Amino acid sequence: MTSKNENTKADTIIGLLFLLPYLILWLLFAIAPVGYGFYISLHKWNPIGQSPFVGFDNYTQLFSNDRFWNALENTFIYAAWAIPLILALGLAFALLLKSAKMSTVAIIEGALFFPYLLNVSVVGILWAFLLDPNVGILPYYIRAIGFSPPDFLNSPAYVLPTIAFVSAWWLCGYRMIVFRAGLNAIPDELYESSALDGAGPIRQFFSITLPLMKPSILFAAILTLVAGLCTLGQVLIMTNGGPGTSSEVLALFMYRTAFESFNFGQAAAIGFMLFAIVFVISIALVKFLGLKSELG
Amino acid sequence: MERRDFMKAMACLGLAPLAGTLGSVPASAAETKMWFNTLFHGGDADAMETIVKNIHASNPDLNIDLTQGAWTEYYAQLYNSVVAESAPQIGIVDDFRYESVAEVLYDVQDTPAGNILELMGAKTDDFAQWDISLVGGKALGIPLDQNGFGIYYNKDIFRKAGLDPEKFPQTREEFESACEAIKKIGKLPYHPALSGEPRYIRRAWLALLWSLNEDYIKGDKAAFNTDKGRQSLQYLVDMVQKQGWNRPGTNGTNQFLSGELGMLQNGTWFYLTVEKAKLDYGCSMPPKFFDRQVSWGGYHLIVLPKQPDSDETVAKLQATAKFLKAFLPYYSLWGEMGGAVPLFKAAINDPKLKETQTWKKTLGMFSQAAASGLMQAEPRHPKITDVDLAVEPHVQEAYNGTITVAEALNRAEADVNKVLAGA
Repeated sequence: MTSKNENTKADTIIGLLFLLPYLILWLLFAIAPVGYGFYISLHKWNPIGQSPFVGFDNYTQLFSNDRFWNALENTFIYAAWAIPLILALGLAFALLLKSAKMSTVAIIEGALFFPYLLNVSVVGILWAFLLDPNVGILPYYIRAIGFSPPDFLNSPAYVLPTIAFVSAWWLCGYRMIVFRAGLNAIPDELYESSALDGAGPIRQFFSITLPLMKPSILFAAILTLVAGLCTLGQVLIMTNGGPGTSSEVLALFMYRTAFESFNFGQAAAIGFMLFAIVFVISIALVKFLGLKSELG
Repeated sequence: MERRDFMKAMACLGLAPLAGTLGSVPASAAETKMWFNTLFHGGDADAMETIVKNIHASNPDLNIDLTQGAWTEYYAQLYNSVVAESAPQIGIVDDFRYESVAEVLYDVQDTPAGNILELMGAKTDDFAQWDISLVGGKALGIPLDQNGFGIYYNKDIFRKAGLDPEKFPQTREEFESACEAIKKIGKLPYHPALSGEPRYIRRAWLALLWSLNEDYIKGDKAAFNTDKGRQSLQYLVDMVQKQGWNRPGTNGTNQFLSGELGMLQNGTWFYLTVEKAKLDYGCSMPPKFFDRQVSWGGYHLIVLPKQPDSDETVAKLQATAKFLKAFLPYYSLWGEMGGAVPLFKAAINDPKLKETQTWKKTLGMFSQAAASGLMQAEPRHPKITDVDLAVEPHVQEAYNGTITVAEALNRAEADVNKVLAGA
């Protein structure tokens, strides 16, 4: 018994030693910046001068700032469009490619993945040009078929769904690859035996595919959640938060507070709240989906 | 880890990719290698590149690493680079952002290398409008140019619309009838706000506000929410919502360069771009829309961002002074290629400059407007950037027709007063 306990203890120590290099980096580059960001948020921060401690003043000022609440609302609206769109498109492409019997699957997969290789600046500039009301190709073709094109990037109603669609175009290829890996890990025998038992494609999807893809879905969902709630580049480049403040999301508000108003303390407070939101939702996702697949 | 060290490390990490996209950061070991970072990105960027190349050709010992970047990230980069103790030796600052970055700039007459102006062999009197460089009595920069908006117009469209291409409308009535004439031939008459970004919409409104002799801010209060403020903004909004001279959300620069727009409000810096487009164009000050003729204007200043205390810094500042001394004869070329009014008196009076195509097409007109006080700069205030940011969304929403002019100015006034009260 004692020997078994000693072995377990030794295994734990060895395990921790293996983890140590990663843990050090994680503490240094993930935990320390979060803690330091929180520390900054408690000060009227001046990186080249005195920074008096102000307690939670930066937070209370934010809570009384309409622009902060507007940015928070925009962040959730954008995320509500972008996250399902990115995941659904990624999953749909993965399923279509798995069932495709063409020799050109690899080419199609490459083409779908390609946008992910582009820098966000390129994506933003490209789509701003494609959607330009005067010279954009999309409004041109909408006009060509006899309709009046919506003001994609200059209408408060359309701007966030439009940017969400652009994000989906950009990011769904990578999610497709993640889902493809998850799909490929499901043994074909399960489908064959369920077919013998009379299960159709829909029953197979809900009873085999989705449950066994839980780890892939969780991974893609957390990645997409972070991308959705912390989005900055697309908004900064395509609309700079406009029209008005219709697309000013939290990350952009934080960026402006820090680097246009040079109010670093308040920007850190926004950053910390954004971190808290992402953290809580991520933990909830992990709890809801679980870390293990049905395969164990 | 010290707070400052942490910020340095983080800022370096953040700046590394940005620097990679703009060019290489100078090697700190090089004795006279200097980093000159500007916010120019159009025709004026080409002009500065030409000047720097010329200076290097005649001063091979001055190794100048010129990087020119996007306007919106420039001030963040400038500030962070000083915090990270890896700032460029030379930068450019707009007058309306000058006070917000004042604490990261050297007093050019009191640097660790001494008085840079003296080292350049120059005097304050050599510069037109030297006072614009002063913040709290200290000269935090050297005046480079005065820039501002004029109206560029397509002479071919004027001809087709039956207008005299050599005579730009000088009154509001003439301007409005010109717009109607252009509309009749199926072209877009006017775009008041360059690429249509909120800051340009705000600037277009400010010029109309000033035309009514109304203030933007007074002391620590917003001053624009008055009858005159509403009248000026309503006039701007009506251009796109009622008169149909253009549409909100459009890029006037693209419209003009593609030959679809009759008149475009754009800056002095537009000269090289419009020249390259091979359009037959003219340029004029805006007409007298209300009580006086005025356009939005500003200044560029050459600044010296603060460096860590070291012998290397002194050596680099001395090299900077040498570079700036070599720059002085190029103020004329800056005017000729960059299109802005140079603020070095010898350049303004340079007869060769007055023979250039730029002078004939745009610069002569802008110089005259600057001398007559027709280009008005924004009020100097440490929080003017925050004021502008508070105003812009509301003015843009009014311009887009999503809220009324009164609503926009009420909201803008409340936000500006919060900003100015320090909330």
